[in-house]
Amino acid sequence: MPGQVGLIQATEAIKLILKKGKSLIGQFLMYHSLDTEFKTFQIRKNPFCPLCKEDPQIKGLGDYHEVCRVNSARQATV
Amino acid sequence: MKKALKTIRAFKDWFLIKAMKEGSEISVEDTHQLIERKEPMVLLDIREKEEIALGYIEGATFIPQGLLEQQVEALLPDKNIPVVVYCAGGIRSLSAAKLLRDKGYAQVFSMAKGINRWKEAGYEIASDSELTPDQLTRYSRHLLLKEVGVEGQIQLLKAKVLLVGAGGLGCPAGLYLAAAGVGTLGIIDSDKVDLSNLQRQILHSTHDVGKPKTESAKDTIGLINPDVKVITYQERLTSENAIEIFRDYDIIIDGSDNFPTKYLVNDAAFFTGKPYIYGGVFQFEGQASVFFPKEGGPCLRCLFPEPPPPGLVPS
Repeated sequence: MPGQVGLIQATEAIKLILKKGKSLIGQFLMYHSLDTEFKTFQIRKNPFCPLCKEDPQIKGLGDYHEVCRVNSARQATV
Repeated sequence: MKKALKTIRAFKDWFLIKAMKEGSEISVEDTHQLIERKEPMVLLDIREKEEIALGYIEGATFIPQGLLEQQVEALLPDKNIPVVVYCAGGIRSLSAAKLLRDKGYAQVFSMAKGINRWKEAGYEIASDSELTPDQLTRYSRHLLLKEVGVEGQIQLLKAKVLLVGAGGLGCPAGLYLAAAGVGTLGIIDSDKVDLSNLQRQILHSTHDVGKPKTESAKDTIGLINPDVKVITYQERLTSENAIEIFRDYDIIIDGSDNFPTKYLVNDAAFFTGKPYIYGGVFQFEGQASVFFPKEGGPCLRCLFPEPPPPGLVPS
């Protein structure tokens, strides 16, 4: 499973380097391996985004492990 | 299907035998001798531009096969001078030679088995490319693609990609980027290889268990493609080092397995203006996106402003 996703990431990187094709910018890809299904959703900039809107709340890097203590919680990969 | 292939093969054999009987083929050895002896002759390369980029025989005249009919008489007005036609494997040049004979050229030869055989025989190949002969061969499949070509390959060799994590996602991504000739790969990971990693983290081998993942990844990539410069950071990505590390790269690939790191990567990529290639896997489901607000797209926080609260994350 991670193999397929890792290769999609590598392919996206190569497309960005070559400036070819349509990248996954503004798109969110979901891959369901048990159903062999690829779905892409359009995603848009959020005007209330705390990071990338004009005059955002977040102005620098904070303490990420304080915000979200999930160090021990790891996503299972198959 | 099989029958059709067999017929094609039989036809090809017949064509080759007929051509040889007619004395219209010349071996690469004989061609080489003619060139060495500086015999008056024209060496005609009828391959496509993308193929010529892989190297050609010094002194060749170039007319792609498709334009031969139209251009040959203008470019080669002397019909009595011997012409040796070559392509990649010696098939296309046979029909090109026939075309030239039909147009009244007196002595036309097709170089048997083409420039591939010429290379095998160890004769010299000329090239205008910035790539070394080894690189021309290594990346030849890329060079034939119009989307890549020599220019694209040079871009790949100049590119710098950072892999955050050399785990389930970082390993396959790193493996293919290295093989494709992405010139600089940064790898940040503080972990050591564990036996339970090997089922998916394919840059690491059984004998790497216990080694830092960065070291094991670097060794494997070095074996696959010595063109790639691997820069390792055997540490955790933190708020203190992220900006400084990201600055040196063109693209950030996220192979992390936890939300704090994903948010850190998102924010640091935003502040340094780099595209963030997101990836995630949970059991049998995978996700991917490219977050690049600079180019108009959203970032991870546009979708989920804050990381999920503790306890809601699958463990």
